[in-house]
Amino acid sequence: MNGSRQLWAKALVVGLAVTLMATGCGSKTKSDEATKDSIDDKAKTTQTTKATIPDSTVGVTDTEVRIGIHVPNTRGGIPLGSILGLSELSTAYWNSVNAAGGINDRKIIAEIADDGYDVSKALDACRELESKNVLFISGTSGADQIVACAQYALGKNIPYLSLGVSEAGLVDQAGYRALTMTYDRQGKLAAQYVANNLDGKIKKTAMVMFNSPNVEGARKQFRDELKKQGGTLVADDLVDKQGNANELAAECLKLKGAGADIVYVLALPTISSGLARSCTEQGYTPQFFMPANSAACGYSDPIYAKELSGCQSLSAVKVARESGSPLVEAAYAGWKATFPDRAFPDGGETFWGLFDIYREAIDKAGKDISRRSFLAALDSMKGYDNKLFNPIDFTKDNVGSDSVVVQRADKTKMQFDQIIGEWTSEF
Amino acid sequence: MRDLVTFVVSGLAGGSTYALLALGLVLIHNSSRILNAAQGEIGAFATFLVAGLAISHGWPWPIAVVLGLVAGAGISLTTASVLLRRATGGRLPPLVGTIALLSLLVIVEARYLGAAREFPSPLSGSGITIAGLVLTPTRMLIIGAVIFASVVMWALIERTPLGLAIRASADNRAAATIVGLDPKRVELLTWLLAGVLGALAGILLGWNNQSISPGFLTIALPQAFTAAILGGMRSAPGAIVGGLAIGIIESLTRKYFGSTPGSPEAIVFAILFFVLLLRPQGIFGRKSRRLATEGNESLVSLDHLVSIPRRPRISQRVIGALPLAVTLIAALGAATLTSPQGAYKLAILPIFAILALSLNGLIATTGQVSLGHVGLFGLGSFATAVAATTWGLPLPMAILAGPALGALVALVLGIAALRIGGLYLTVLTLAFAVMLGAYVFPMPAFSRGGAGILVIRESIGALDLTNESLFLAFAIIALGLIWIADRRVLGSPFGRAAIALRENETAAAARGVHAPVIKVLAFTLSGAGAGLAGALFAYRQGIVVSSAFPLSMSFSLVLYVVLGGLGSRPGVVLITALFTWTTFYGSSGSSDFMILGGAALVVFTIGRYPKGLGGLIRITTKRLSLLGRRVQPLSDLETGGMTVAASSISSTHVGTGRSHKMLVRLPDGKTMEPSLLGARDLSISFGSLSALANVSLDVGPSQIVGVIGPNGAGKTTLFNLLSGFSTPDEGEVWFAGHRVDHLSAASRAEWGMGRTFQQGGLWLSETVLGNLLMAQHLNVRPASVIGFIAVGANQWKLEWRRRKVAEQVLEILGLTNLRNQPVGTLSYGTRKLLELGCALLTRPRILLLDEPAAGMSEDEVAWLAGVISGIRNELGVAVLVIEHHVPLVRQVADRVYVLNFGHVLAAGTPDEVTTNPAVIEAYLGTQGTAAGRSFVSGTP
Repeated sequence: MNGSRQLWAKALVVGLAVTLMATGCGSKTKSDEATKDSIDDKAKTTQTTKATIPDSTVGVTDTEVRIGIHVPNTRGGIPLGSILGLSELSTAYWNSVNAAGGINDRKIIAEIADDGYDVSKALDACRELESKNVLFISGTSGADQIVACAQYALGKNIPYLSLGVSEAGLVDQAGYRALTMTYDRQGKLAAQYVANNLDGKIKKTAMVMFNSPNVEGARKQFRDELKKQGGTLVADDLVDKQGNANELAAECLKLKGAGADIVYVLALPTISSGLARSCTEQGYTPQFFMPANSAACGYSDPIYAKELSGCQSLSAVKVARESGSPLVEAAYAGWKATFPDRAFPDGGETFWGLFDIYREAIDKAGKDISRRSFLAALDSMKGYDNKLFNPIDFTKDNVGSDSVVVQRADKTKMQFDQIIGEWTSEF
Repeated sequence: MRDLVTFVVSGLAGGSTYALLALGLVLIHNSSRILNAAQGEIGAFATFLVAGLAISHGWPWPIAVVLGLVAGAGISLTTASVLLRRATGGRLPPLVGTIALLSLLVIVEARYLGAAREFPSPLSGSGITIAGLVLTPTRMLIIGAVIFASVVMWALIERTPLGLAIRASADNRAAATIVGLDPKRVELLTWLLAGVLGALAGILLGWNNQSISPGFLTIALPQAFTAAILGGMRSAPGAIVGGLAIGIIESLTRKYFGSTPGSPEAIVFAILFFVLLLRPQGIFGRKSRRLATEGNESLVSLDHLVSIPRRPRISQRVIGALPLAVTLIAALGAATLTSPQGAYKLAILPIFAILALSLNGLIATTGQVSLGHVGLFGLGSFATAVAATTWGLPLPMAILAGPALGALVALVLGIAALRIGGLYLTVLTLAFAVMLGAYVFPMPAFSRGGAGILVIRESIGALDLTNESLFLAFAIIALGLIWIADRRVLGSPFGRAAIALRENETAAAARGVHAPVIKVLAFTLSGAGAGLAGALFAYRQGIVVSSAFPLSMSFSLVLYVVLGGLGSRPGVVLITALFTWTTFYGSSGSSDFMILGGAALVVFTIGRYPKGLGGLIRITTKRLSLLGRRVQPLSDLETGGMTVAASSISSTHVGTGRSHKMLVRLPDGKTMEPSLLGARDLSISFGSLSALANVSLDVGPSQIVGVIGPNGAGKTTLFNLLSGFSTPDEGEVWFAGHRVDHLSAASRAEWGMGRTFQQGGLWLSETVLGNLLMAQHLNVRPASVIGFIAVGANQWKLEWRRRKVAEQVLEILGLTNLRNQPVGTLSYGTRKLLELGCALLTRPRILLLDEPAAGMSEDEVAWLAGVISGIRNELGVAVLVIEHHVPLVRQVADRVYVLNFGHVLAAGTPDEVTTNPAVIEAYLGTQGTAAGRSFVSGTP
């Protein structure tokens, strides 16, 4: 009797485990494809008709406009400090705007909430911003946090703006605006670039992304477009988000064994750096290529890996010092005025450029600014170019940019070379 | 093929880091039997120090490295001396202390040691190529270090007196002390060595990665735990092989399943699961043929928890209704006094409190620790989200999907818990959570391409749950109901049975407690609680995304439960609320200091107060209740008890006269005595030692049969085979006309086979009354499962009846004065008496008594003889008794078997066997010894 019970128990456990694994393996392909197809359909729909959100003047008074920004100020309770410095950067930017007289005789009150680089905390941050009656909410960094917070805000009919990340569930929503090209769309452009500019029609290409549902759109776009361009994808892998060194070493062996000449990577800089180091260790130095909102290829210390020198990256912003944008000097001056004793945060120019677009839209919305008029102002800013950020174009859909630049990492200069000067939307 | 070999070699190289970490874990486990969650972080911290010295201050690498190793050793040593200060709280509090230390070190690294930084290897060169894999000098150094460390550790543990001391100290500290060892010193030494190993792993991995960041080594800890478990947890070579095996699995997974999200985690978990299912002791672990009477796998040591049924007086009814009243008042307050934003924030507290209570219940009832509760929590969230959106179920039904899925998956974990326990189960649940987070939650059905699932609240009738305040009230009511249910379940027959199992699996089985049912039910109920918390969380958040359930949440949860005081609902809820609020809403500027301070507080106090806040509350309450009372010394109570016992027993007219034999007349007119319990050719060997060989015996209804024999004759082994605590290699056991040798001990108890033990048949941490209540498990004939888990309407009456029975037995045994004494404080003789009472409460048809007279005075033995006869004469229960006290056996037994070297030497009436020359020879050895004279003369 005991024996039969044990047998029964084993059978049940084995059965459940096998079912679970089979479900995961089996459903992945079909559901995944279905989801992505549905996303594509939605994106197409939004290209023709643009929905609106209920209008509201929440956050607007005679003397001020209140906006909300969530930033990863801490992680696990530990202040990130100068690693990102987004909270301080936001403060410095809007201080500089107010110091110059505000916008349309109103001061801009930027409510900043710490999203803790964590989804649950990001949702709390967004609720907090909602309770402070803000005109709109902006995300800054962290795709998972941006997606979660955007879903919440949009559910409450609060406009949500961010840099472009993934598209699923976001870009078809009336109140959402991505200020840069999404990773999904960069995937398509990247495939074109690989095929046409990196000899990807002749050379073999591999794709490595971190394990997150948020990269699925980008993954599919790159895969499909490369196939369309006549390229050969010899590996399409996902690696651990934490950057497991053993996995990265094995991944390099796989890429090397598959003969990949070009490796398209969408992952945290720590992962791409680790991958490049592992590959170089094996005497394998492919051309690394990455999508990014600002700069990929882990260009600054301590993340920078010399092995990534020569890595190329799509970017939705230009290299600050070489952009020629007056915003760059203004950013340094504005920062110094607020935080005279602290160094300007790495990559902070990007967000200065982002906030500059918000400022312009608030300005254009005029005295009668409301949620709907603010979004309408953004939509009307086609061609707005602050020389740092990509030129804006919301006329077709909720993604404000169809163009990117391509940059190349150069270890000797500890920065990027800008190798394509003008914005482009096809290669 | 060459390609495959390359990946295997790469896996071996990569797995070497896991192996180094696992070695440290095994070393600590060998000496302290705990998991050191901070093993990786101690190494990371030491590496940060090395980086500071060598890179920031330009010290020579060798000096910096040596100082780093010293730092690792020092931190580890200090940790051990602080956390292991008291050995009274079980193995869980030190584990929690290491979790707190892990948090503390990460914060210090991030805040004061530069966070992420470069860590270039001082070794240069192109390396060598093996099977297509380039091994850099750094990688070769790592492999060399692993080989060196494994050889040293193996030699240390297996081939040196120190290794013997480590093993001896861990297995039995008291025995080790008796033979002159200092277990504490041995323990500290092993922690010191483990610290060196951790630091070495950190420095080498840092060089390999050329950069370090806070927690960089802790990332590899789940793999290291798994490696140690796969290797058998005690074996240094096993840890090495386990680590390398995981490295190879990861490497090959990359080769073949690289495009499947989370495939390495899923495959490592699956392998761990199946290995443990098929070979619970791990690949290198030795399967000890442990008798079931040798303890349990509980990770905790708790104060007595068995609730005593009380007559519901008005005052007690008021107290009993307090949780309900508090819940209603809190819910009313929440509904009327909170702002929407405040209510939303506050709603996280009851949700996490429910989650913590679900884990608390599991630990309190089973003694097992789950690090997978965050997975059950997440599953509950997703189940409710899918039910509400994809299936379109209304909120009242969708919210039930969470607990349903949580319960179902926990049921599977419960089944696993039947095969493994202790730290093995803990690591299995950890792997389970890792697998869910990496493989299951990102599945498209759950993640929706990263967008997550939006969950919209709705109204339930007039209750508008879109209102944050009302939702908070709803969550508070849910917490109140869980609280009340938890209390009732713990006080139910199920709760008692679970505690009985946790504290003494042997005693529980002897009283008819079926471990499989109880364990699986405990896990299932806990899973349902975690799932319910997840369901509420889904509705609170409004969106469920796969990244909302980080593994660290599981560690935090265990920390809350231990700090709150295991088994203490108020403490656990209070601590959970405090930490959850701080984590979520502590001001960002000061929260790191709060976490830093909190973690330091835990590290430095958990060793001194292992029972946490709940323990302090219990101690304080007890002290307050004792204020002003005159405490009667225990010796007085016991003396009084025995006196009463003697008079009570005599007053029940328990005589020593023999009963008439029960005879069956056969068709041919002959008569025979039927057998109630029969053994047929029982044999069992332990290794090459034959403990019993072809032993047969019979005990008739209402017969008293004695088994005597010299030490080592196989008497207790025979009892274990008869009662189901060991399985015979050959032979059969028959009871009441049925073959029962395939039945578990609990089933045989259920059939009417009661027994006592030489020692270990009681629940020492529980009170005398608690023991008698737990022993009545077989009297819980639930008309339904409802009664079993205490939700039946007449539960109180049933419980009160059980208490009355227990009180009657106490009175008969003369132990009434001792009813509230923990059994662990009683004398040996009193325990024997109590155990007899416990055995009788199972209403046996036969009672197997294992040396009942041991430790008794002659007067007490005489009294015992009357009791044994009384059991047969008054209750009609047959008795099989093992006893060295031959005069006692001669006095009470109808028939006697003599065992010698595992064989039946003689059988017959007491007079026949005591005059048997072979028996005398066996006892005497040589003529004229005292033992022989006493045996023949019948005096002790």
